Amino acid sequence: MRKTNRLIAGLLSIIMVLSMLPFGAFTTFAADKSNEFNVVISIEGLTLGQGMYVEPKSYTLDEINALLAKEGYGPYSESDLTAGMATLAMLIDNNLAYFITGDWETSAYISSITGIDKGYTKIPAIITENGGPGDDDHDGNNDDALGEFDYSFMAGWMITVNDLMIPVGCSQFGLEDYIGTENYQDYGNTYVIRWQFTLWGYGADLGFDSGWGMPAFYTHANKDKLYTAYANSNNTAAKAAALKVMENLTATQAEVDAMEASLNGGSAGETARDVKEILNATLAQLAVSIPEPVFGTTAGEWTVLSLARGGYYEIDSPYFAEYYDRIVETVQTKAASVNMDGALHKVKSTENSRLILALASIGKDPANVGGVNLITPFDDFSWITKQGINGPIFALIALDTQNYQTTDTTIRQQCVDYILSKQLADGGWALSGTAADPDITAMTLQALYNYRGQAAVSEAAEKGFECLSAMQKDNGGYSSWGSINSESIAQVIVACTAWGVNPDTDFRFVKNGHSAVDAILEFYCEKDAAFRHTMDGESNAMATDQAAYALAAYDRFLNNKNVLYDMTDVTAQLPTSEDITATLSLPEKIENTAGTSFNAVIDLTAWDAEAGYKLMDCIVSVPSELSVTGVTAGGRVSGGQLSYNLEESTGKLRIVYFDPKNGNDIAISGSSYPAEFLVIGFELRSDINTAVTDSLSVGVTGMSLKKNSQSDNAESMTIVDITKASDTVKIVKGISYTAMVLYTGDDVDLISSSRTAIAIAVTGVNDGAKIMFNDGTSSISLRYSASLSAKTGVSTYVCMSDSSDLSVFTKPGNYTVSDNTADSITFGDSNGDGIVNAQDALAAVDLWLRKADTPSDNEILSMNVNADSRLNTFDALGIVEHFVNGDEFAVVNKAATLKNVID
Amino acid sequence: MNKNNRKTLSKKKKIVIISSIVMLAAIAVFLIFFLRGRDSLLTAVPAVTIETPDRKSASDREPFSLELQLSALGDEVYPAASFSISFDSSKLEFLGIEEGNVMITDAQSAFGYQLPEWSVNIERSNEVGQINLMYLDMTGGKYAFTKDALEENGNILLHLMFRLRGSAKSGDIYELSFDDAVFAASDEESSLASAKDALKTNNGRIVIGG
Repeated sequence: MRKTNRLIAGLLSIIMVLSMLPFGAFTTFAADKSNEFNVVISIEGLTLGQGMYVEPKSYTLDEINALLAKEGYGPYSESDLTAGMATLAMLIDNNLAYFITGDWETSAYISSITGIDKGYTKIPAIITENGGPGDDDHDGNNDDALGEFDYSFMAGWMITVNDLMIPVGCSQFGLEDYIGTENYQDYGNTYVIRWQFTLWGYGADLGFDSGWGMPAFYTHANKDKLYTAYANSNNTAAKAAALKVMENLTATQAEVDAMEASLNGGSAGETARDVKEILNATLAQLAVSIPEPVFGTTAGEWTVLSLARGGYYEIDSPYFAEYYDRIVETVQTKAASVNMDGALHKVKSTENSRLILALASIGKDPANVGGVNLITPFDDFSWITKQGINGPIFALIALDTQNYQTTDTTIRQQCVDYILSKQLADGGWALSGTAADPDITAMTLQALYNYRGQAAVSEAAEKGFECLSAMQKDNGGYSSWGSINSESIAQVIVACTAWGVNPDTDFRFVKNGHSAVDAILEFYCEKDAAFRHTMDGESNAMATDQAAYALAAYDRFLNNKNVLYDMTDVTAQLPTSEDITATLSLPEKIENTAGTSFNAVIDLTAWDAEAGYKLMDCIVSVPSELSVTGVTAGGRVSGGQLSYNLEESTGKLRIVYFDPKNGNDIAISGSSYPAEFLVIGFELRSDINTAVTDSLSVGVTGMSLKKNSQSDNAESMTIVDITKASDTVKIVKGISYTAMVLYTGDDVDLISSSRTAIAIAVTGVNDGAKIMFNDGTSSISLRYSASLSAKTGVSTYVCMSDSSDLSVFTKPGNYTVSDNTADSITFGDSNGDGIVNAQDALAAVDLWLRKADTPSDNEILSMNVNADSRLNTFDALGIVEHFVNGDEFAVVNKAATLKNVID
Repeated sequence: MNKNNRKTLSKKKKIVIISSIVMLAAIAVFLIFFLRGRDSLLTAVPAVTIETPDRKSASDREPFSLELQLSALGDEVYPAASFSISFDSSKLEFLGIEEGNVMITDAQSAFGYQLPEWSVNIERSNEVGQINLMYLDMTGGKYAFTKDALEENGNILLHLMFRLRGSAKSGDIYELSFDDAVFAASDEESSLASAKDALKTNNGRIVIGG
């Protein structure tokens, strides 16, 4: 008994002692062991200011052996792999030629590596301050191999492994052999090999004391963990930010650790993250503060360009459509006033250029703006140059957006030659004088990119970038006309991104650790979500416009999209009001029993409010299985009365809409299209044998809009395009489910990209019956929508889901239908009080302003009334327009096209 | 104390009692008249009221306006407001709105206030017989209704402009009734909403004479 007690006491003691040990110690240990053996390797030219030659990449042992096998080496185990063989694998992987003495297995010494020298130097000051060569007095490199004695008699390749400058040749250095050695860092199963080019001091310039006569010039930061994080990250934006620290020869340990933490945190680096956040906030603010952009340098084309190229609005958004409508009248007036073949100003061709940029960004044709061709005047070179170098610069930028052609095909080259002739001795350009101006230099570089194939252009651009780099201030900013300002930095960023130069990491645009991107962010005024012109000023429209499109350019650069002014990725053209097209939509499925009812919805894609239409008539082909229960005009349609008749013998449903008493014009209120024009109610006359008839088709066979009774006058009538005005409904037995994606969030405004709104039409159930969805992964109570159901004539529900995979939403086995009544949803009614009013509109505003909590699924469903990927002020406006004008919510209109893509 | 004295005292008592009753009655009458129409004091609930105008002649085709009056607001900032008002569009033609004197805050202006821009659709109002008015401050509070902007002597949110249609006839009474009214605050609990009885609504009526 006593022995037993002692045993228990002993076990308890052990458990207690173990429990007192830090839990983290076990987890760290476990994590290290779970990592697969891997080697991170890089080749660097930081001492020459050339950055990375081979960025850090992680290799597993299998990958190393596979690469070495190509040249007949290996295989190696973890215990016998040397730094030399790992290096050879990396060289093979990157297809790099090299010169070595000795052999890889026993005594390799790398004398040079071919094809990596970038041909320029930007030698860090720390080297010249310690007696090393500068950019103007180094020894140079006589061949394309970079190695010993290049640029300086002390130069050559040095290798560190786990931050240890290894004391033996790389072929003798077994990676596991030196664990426990002083200064040899232990990263578990990860080893970091860095090949660094030393220029001066045999490694002293790398922050090491090799014992060959020169102490370290500075205390180097251990970047191994940052390199490992970089090698393992897929976050392009975060890596771009990290690269800036990695390529800074004298980065501090704090900077390195902070960036490593950022990379390992899975988020973008600080700068990259800030850029995206600030860009989104700025674009959103622009959209609100400039609700109706017009022709002009502020609150006009630059705003439109920013919102289009920044991706804030889709190019077919009403915002751009309404801007275009305003522009047409302005262009017609100005062009008529100037009377110079489409010129909008007698001497300022940039007026045309600026408008072309905006129109190209929203998919509009500048060659036909209300009948005015904005391209034509560019055939006159003297007109282009009337305002100096600005004219040719923006002529090239504008014409090249979509490769618009002038009749005189020499115009572009004349512009290029003119620009080249104006280059100043310092390599830059200016409106006047002999000193380069950063704005004009940057704009010139933007214009010249498409002509870089010309040797003269390439040479001029190289000097231009050197000049821009030289003009950069210590804080990364630029000064023009006596003040450091955000607009100059904006132009530099646009120029850099046009040429594929990262303005946040390229050494030419980073001064004292401050990049051009860092500098422009300093001008951001968070309370206004806008930018200042100068640091001590207030935010203003011009600075905000330019910063917005500069950040959009940088964001596009990071995400490998077309550069800012290359608008060949914009293809869509908006329909004109003259092109009225009718569409007809049926539900995808209905139940096959007699009395089943459903609707056909006829929408119009446009309307000509000025035409003065007095009468609409149309004929709809109806199958004999259907009776017509009613025809109603859309909620926005007014001015007439409906009459209809179904001719049973032919199945022709004739509908006419006009005002027999007063002859009023037919009108459609509101401005958003498509607009619901007619709703036809149908009902099955009898049960249908689905084996015989599995679908029914309804189609419009003719529709016209008449202004008067003059049948011999073609202008009296508009024939509506009905080619898309037919549809088919499937006839099914019992309960069936049809699903469609209403929208998926995009992480910009309050809707996560992982959340998708789905509409589900259900046949064969009582209207409003409670339905639960459960696919084994998620359980969702569907919300019944009376407005969607009324639209389609079929019971329709909505829900938010983590998945946009519709297949799970069409399987009857994933649903449970009960006799209870489902919770319902009213679009626009954010607080669920059954009334859509100012409280709901304000709720949308407050959400967008982030004054309210993150919206719930139900709030997203009820408030994202325009069915885009964001909850923002457009939804607030949508609620206002619905309340005041009776406009149908876009989300409801979308349901008319409810189709099951799986089928 | 003799019998006469007792009689005299009894008379005094009667006089005191009667005087008290008369005074109480006078106070009650005074309160009723003084506070009549002052909903905020009687009920402590702000109210919106559609003015009931003088009797209209069925043959009068001139436009006329009705005040949409506001009695008071709470202590909150109200960045949005909306009203839904039903009317008989077969008898009355809604012509639009004109400015009142209730302003919204505007720190940018020298005065500190400006008149709100209400959204309304005249055509639609006449189609459906319901006037839907909304004001929405897209900044969520910079341009909002507050009680500080109210006047001491009568607050008119706006004027509703009407004209009688040809079908109007003597003896008719046309109701102008609120279906919904709200002054919305960001904190919904603080909103003044008719649906929650936090905003009283007083309908108007147009009486048609000969």
